[in-house]
Amino acid sequence: MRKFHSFLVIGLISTMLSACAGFSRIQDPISHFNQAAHAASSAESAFLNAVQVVECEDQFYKSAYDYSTSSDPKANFDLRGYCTPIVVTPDQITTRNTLMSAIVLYADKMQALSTSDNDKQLDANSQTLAQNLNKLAITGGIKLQDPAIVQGVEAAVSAIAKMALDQIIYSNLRNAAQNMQPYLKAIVTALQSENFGFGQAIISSLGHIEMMLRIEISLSHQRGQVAAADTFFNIINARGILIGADPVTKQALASPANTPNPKPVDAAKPVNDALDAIVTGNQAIANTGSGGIYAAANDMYKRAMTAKDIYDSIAKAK
Amino acid sequence: MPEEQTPKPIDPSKLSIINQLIYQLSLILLDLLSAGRATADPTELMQINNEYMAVGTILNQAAQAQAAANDTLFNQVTSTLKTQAKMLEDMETQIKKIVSDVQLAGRVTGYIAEGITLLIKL
Repeated sequence: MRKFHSFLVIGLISTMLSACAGFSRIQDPISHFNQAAHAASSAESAFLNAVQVVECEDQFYKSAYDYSTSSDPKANFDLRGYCTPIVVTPDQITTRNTLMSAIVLYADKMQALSTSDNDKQLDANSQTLAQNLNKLAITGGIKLQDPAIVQGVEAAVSAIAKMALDQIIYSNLRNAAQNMQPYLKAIVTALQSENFGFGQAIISSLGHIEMMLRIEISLSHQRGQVAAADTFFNIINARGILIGADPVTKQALASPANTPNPKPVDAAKPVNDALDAIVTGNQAIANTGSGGIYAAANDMYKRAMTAKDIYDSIAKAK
Repeated sequence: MPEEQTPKPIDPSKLSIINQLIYQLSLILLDLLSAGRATADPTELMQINNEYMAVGTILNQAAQAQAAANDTLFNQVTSTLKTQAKMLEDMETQIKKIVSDVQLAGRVTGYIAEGITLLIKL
């Protein structure tokens, strides 16, 4: 009997230890997933900022170009670069950042669930964010283009917010990931569906800047307004402006003119890849072991940082 | 106080047309940029730039329509877009005059024709 008790105690201790080991095994990859989700959110934000920055830069160059080519003695120019963005407005950027906040909130909650602490609630700030997101979703405050997508996104934001505030229903990480997968996909699809158009607006503006630089160089050269050496340096300066402004399409800049059947460069690809990686990363939590989650989270982080670096460098070049 | 009306749903087929239109306009811009890179003649460059700007404006309007929050705003932007069909028609003739590369000009006018078909469908 005494021997039996000893076995029972050893068994209990080993079960408890393996449970703790389970938590620590999962906690680290989930932490990576969380970090990557934050990076993906920053990448989407940087992308939308780049759309606006490039459009405004195009408007500034256009005003300088108009002045330089105008024969009107009353023509004027502007050095401030004041801009009214048309393609994506600040309000529209706020809505899209809100959607990414929901994804970040989900990742934060997953990290809280993965800890061995008894209290798996989020901190006060995150709880307030969850409450605000839920309110926004149920009051129709999420404004996107397609009503079918909006319904899915509202349901997603609401579900994520409720999950973030709850610690009973989603006590199991794998179940949580499985249940939330369609909601994450709804948000990612909503953002990806319009990112291509925004990306093409970036490409259009960069092409226009290139065109104006070419005109100014050729005009000053043809009219003999500058010495040959100055034309040479004008060309070099113009190339510097373009390369600085155009990290997405450097390849396109280097490609020969008029290639047979060219395809538009997809300036939204880096950010859309990062968004796809969120869905893949969550799928890994739902289906695979910690090794699979590590791999998916690392891929997600890498893609998100690449996208963020590209779009940030567009803004910094200005 | 008047009740705020719920915005009507946007026709998903129209959104698909907008996406196709953005792609088509991007192809035109790509070829116009190629035409611009192929010349250092300022007059020709300025003419190409005018066409580029016109197409770029339509593309920005299309991207704006894509991000529109409700049917009212979407319809406002698409009705502006529809008026651009005539401008694109005029552009077909203009492109043939200013782009010296016949093959490239032919391809651009083909893209323009497809763009006009999409605008009419809106």
